[in-house]
Amino acid sequence: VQKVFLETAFEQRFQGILRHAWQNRSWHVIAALPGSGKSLGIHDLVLRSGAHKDITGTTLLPILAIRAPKNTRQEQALGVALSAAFGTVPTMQWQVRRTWLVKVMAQAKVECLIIDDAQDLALSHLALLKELTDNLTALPYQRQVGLCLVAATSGSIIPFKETFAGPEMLWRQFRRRMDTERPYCLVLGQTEEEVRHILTTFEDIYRKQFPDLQLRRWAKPIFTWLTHPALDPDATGRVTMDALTRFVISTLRHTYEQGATDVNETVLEMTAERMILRRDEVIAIDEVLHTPLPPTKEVG
Amino acid sequence: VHAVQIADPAWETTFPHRVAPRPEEWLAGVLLRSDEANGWDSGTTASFLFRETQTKNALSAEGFVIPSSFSLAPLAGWLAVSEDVLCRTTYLFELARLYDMPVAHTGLLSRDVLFHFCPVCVAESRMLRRTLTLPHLQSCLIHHVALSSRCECGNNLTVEQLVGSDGLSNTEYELFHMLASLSAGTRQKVFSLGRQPFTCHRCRRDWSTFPRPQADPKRIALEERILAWYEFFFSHGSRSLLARALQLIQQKIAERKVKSVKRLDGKSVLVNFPSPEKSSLARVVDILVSLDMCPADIEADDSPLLWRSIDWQTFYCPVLTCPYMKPRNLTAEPSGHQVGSFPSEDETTHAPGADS
Repeated sequence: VQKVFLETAFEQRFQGILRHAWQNRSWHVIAALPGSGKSLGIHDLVLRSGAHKDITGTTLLPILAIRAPKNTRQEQALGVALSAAFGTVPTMQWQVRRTWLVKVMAQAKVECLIIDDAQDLALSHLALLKELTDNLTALPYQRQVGLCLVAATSGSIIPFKETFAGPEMLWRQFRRRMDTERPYCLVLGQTEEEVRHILTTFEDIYRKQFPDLQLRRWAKPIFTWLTHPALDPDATGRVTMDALTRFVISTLRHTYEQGATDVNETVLEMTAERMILRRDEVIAIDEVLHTPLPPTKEVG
Repeated sequence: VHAVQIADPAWETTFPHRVAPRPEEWLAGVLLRSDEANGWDSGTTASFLFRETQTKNALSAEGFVIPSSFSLAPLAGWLAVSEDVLCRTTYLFELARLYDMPVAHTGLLSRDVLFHFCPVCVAESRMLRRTLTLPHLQSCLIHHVALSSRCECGNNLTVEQLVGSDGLSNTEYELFHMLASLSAGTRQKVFSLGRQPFTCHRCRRDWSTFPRPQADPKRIALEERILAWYEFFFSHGSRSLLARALQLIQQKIAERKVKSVKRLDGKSVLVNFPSPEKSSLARVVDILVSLDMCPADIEADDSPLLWRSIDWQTFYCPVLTCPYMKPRNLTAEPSGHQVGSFPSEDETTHAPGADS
């Protein structure tokens, strides 16, 4: 399995806003459809942020990215997740960890905090985030930190917008810290033209296995299929990277099984049918699958 | 030793801030620096190591002189350094080689471990040298200051406060004065949970600000000789070398026709080393220095090693009616009363090939 990160138009838009938050220490809520490639984009940005642990005791972690704790409202869960981003940490009392977190974030020169799956954050988590960033801004650290709450969204609904509009002091303070120009961002998926570019890249990636691969000429029908209401229930008119990758991988797998070196209309239609019409179909398994699965090439 | 990048899986298994052992640094110092670099209480790394290795030792200096009761592998992982590098922060390898043992233990060095440190070394680089674990050394041979083991914050009782000044003879007064000075100050612990590393657990004073009394030049000269012996054993050491040193001690004592030796602490003791493994290195060095010997004496010594039989070697004659050797079968007999011995030269044996 070879993991490849494609710098798609979505990723450029998404990482662009993350970089903006990092450079300007600004606060944003960034939403995108599930499967758009948010997590991979965050991962890629963190890898290229220059984070390292020196042997002299110096650690640099400019972007602290974590996934929001699931199924818990306890602030400790978020504290533990933030601690774990630094590596192995001995167990300590929550009050000690709370203070320690501020110190270690300052020492590691954290400049931007990214919370993936932020839709899972509880109010107590948001309060802790505010407390931590406030403490970093105050003496003796005086470090302004950017914050990106990256959330999966449905349609044009922006998470937290209503919460932060609340009259409570905490939310008023939160809202005041949000970026002036782009506080709430909805990063859109791939257009037809962008899908064409991605398909061209897929051709290049899979050239060895499929020497005659011509995917880009199918950009229009693929875009049409992938914006079908079954795959785009919010009618965004955009394609997610997850849907596109699944479509291409499935098509190539069947093409490979047929021994062909390029995709054809029949295979494409079959894949589209499977993904759209027979998406929720229940398949009865009454035999052992003996055929070994071909190696998967993961592309995001 | 490289930097750990965030893409490296070691990012998750290492501490937020890594420290690497420096040449001649003591393990306890590495642990304290790890605590300090990570903003943890003194002893946090050590406690975590004990928890990981399921060690029930107390967090005292003794446990970190020769770490034979727990593995350093988890610590090596947390710091992303080799386990060997960590072992070299103690005399584990050197003692194991010297005593020809697979694993050394603290008793081979000394049973008495006193924790002390050089305030100048701590001030300069938070350095606790592994030589601090060597008995008889009370000065920093780099900065020529006396090592600190007590903080001034303790009960500085005067003799008057201790017993009252009435009715004391001069001798009694001196004795009590000595006791009062000994009890003065707070004995420092290497690790104190709930306190900052490198500080007094009682008053939180940083060790780097402790007084730095100049060491007596005579004492420095003496300790340089002591250290030379330790370094000699650690660098050239083997069991045979240690045995040769013990032999040389016996020879010196025999030459001087004395039975006891005045040790470094001023006490006279009977010198008796039953075997190398029963002689702690600190004691051997103590006697060697007390006898005014130097490593060159051992290097120049080419006399054969003393030897003695561990057990009587018994030979049995296979001839049942042998008149000279007690007839027995050839089965080896356990130690205890033995019956056979070499026959004298004019005796004849029934051994195969012997003339009869």
